Amino acid sequence: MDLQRRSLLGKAAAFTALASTGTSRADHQEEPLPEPTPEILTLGRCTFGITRSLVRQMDRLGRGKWLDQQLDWEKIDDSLLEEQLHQQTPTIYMSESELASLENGFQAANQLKQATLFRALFSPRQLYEVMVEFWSNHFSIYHRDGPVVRLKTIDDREVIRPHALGRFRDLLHASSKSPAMLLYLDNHTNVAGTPNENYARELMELHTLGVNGGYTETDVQEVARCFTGWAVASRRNINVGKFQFYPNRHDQGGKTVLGTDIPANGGIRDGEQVVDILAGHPSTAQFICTKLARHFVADQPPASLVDRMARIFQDTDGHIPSLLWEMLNSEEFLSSADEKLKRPVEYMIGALRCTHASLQRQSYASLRQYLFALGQIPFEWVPPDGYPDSAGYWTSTNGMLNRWNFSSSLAGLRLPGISMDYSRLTGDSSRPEDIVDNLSRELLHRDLLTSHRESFIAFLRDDEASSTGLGARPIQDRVPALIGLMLSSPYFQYR
Amino acid sequence: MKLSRRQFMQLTAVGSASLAVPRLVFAGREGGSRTDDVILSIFLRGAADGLNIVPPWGDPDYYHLRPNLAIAKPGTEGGALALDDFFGFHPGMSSLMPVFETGDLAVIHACGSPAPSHSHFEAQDLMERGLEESSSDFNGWLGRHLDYRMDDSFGVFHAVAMGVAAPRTLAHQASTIAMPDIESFSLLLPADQEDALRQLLQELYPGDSMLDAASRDTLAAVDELAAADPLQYPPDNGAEYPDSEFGRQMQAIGQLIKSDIGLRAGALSLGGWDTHEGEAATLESLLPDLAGTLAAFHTDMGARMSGITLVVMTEFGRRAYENGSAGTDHGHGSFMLAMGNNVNGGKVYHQWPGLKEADLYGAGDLAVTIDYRQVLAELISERTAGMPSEILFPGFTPPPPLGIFS
Repeated sequence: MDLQRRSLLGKAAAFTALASTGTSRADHQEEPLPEPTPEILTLGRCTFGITRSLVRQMDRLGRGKWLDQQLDWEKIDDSLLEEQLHQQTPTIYMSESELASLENGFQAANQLKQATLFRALFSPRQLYEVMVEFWSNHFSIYHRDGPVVRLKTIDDREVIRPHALGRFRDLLHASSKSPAMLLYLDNHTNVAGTPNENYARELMELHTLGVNGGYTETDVQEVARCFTGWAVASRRNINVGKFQFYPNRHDQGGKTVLGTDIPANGGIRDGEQVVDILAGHPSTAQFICTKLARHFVADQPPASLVDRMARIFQDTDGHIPSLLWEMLNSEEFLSSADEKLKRPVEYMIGALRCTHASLQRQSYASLRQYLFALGQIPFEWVPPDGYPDSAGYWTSTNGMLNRWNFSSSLAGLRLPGISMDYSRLTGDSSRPEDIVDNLSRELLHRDLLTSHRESFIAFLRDDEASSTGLGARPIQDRVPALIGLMLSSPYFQYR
Repeated sequence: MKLSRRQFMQLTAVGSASLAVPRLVFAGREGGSRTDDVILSIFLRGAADGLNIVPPWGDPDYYHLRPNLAIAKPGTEGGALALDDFFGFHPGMSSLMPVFETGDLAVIHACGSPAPSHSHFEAQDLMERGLEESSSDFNGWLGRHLDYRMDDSFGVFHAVAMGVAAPRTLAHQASTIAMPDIESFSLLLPADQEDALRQLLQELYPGDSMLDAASRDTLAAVDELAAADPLQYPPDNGAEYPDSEFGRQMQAIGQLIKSDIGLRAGALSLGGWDTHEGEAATLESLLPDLAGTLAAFHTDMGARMSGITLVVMTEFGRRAYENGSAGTDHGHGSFMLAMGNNVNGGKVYHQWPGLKEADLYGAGDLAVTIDYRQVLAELISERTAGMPSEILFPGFTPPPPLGIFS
């Protein structure tokens, strides 16, 4: 039967391919899942996973005040978490020279990954951490690229985090002088006479204008000339690992970038001027706002919303909180339930957060194993475009299989170093109906279709075993599997 | 009576008078009785440097443009391995020389997409879709072939991507099985509750949405894989795959083929080719992996290679002249490989455009004189039961075949 369906779809495709219509396969669900409330939708998109205490916070404050509070991130106390990170991942606080003197650079890389996951898991600054992830992925840097194993730590601390909820212009300036970025995109070898275009091209294509943003191949060459001499101090230098401009490697001739003349002898000012031109360019506003809306609203973001955001972007130098406020209060956002599939990190962290799992130190190895299998270890996307942010990429047999395996292993306490308290999730109830209702409230935060609720109850009762006279086991025996199943269900796949 | 291919194409083009050139691709031999080859597409991501992987050592301009980076002429220290009196392989490709010499490997040079993009991501996307300009269609070129050929004989494993996600190349109406390896592709559910849980998963994903289809196919694939047990097949004929991710993935593709699980098309990626800096060292480490893996696969498959055709491509090439970082920036034309028993190999297919300033494309790139779609259209025409080329490559009219496949 399955094959018949596929065969029909196949034939149909052969004919429709000519007409160039349709963007994806038919999006038909037998019966749509009950939608989450606007409050739950907001929590789903603005955090790494909904918890009981977040729901209470939201109830108390309402959507507007909750968002206000999250946007004012510096006022949210995260000292407890930082204290723990100081002990567990001390290298994330190290200076360039301390990092340079680490015997094993991968120690720095591993600790930064751990800290990133722990912050997503435990930080009260949830929207801030979501934006840190967003910008880390926008300014994606591959963590294993030579000295980057150490220097991504600096990029994370001094480029991404200070500006994640600041202004795009400041973020772009900081990123253009990030040693990790300059090394990753080879700008340290970009010198007068024999320029290296890698950074110049990706700066325009991926960081600002977008591939159709109106730049030419000549612009790429001119921008590369502007950034000649932008490099990183070497090991012999007292400023090891810091940004360094080498005037003698800089092309001092005049340049033209996107129609603007950059006069000769500008020195370091050439590159800075390019950053300013790009930060204020209308294509940048459009490109960044499209990416933000793709992350928070829908894989195919509504043009109306992007246009409104792009105007605000241009009026405010890319003031990120203003963009988020406009977006998260828009009609387009509020009507976008189930439009965003959780990516693997969001899925796994979300499952750990809603189950209130407690993590021992060795848990990182288990998490890493599944992040690897699902293909989203922090900072390990090799090319500079960052992990994809739409469902098409992440929906695969491998994706579903590993989501299910992770959830089943998590709920069955088969991941070393991770445990959870079932009774806290079931409300310590023994009635199957109550257990299902409590679990769906704790884990899924939305109503179930009646048919699904009944199936879950039947599973707990072990109806099959009863009817075949095998005798049902205690209901509690089936709770872990039901938790795993709920996390494996479509109810939990969307943010 | 047998119509010649040419006569047949003329006859079938009658209905569409507006077409100046016959635009239908059909099987190269009689009718539709031909069974399709298993088609494997290997994508070298990051823009692999055709000029140093298949150096045109007979072109003096090559050495002018790359004083430090050029591969020396054959017969010298670290020199190219001669393929003919003009082209050679980078020495890192040595394990493919025997395959080239037996005639199972063809090289296509100054080949690529006419799209002017120098963006990796745009160019990869266009090449995988087989398009010159972006469109809202989601499918890939090989995916369109699968959709066209799809019938009841297609099982859940008809398309496989080795990796955590399926590349665009294979995107089609049904699911592509994505898996990084065979070993870990199994469901970890508590044994005593497995049946009930699987039934519930089916109930929870009942529809035709992407997520529903992926879920249903995941459950089917886990069962079929367990039944076929591909891991029971060791490499044959003394084949030794490199100890690398790519090597393991190609070995797994071979195991799937041997297990008769119904594989029709596969796609794999090998990354790391964006050699803006320190190119020599990068190629010295990547090429033995590429060549060693393909050669091992050829050995492992043995006689099965008569029903398998493999192609290697990359989104674009590198700038013809070297940069100041002992590397090369983004360019245009590059190379392709085609491997199989029915490849007319041992030959470099090319219309060499030259490397003089006036011959270069744009900022100084090797020009594209053979459209990659011509190679792929010929592959589909000759090694499968065929399909209309305007469905395979909308907007592209394939020139007369180069004779790469028989």
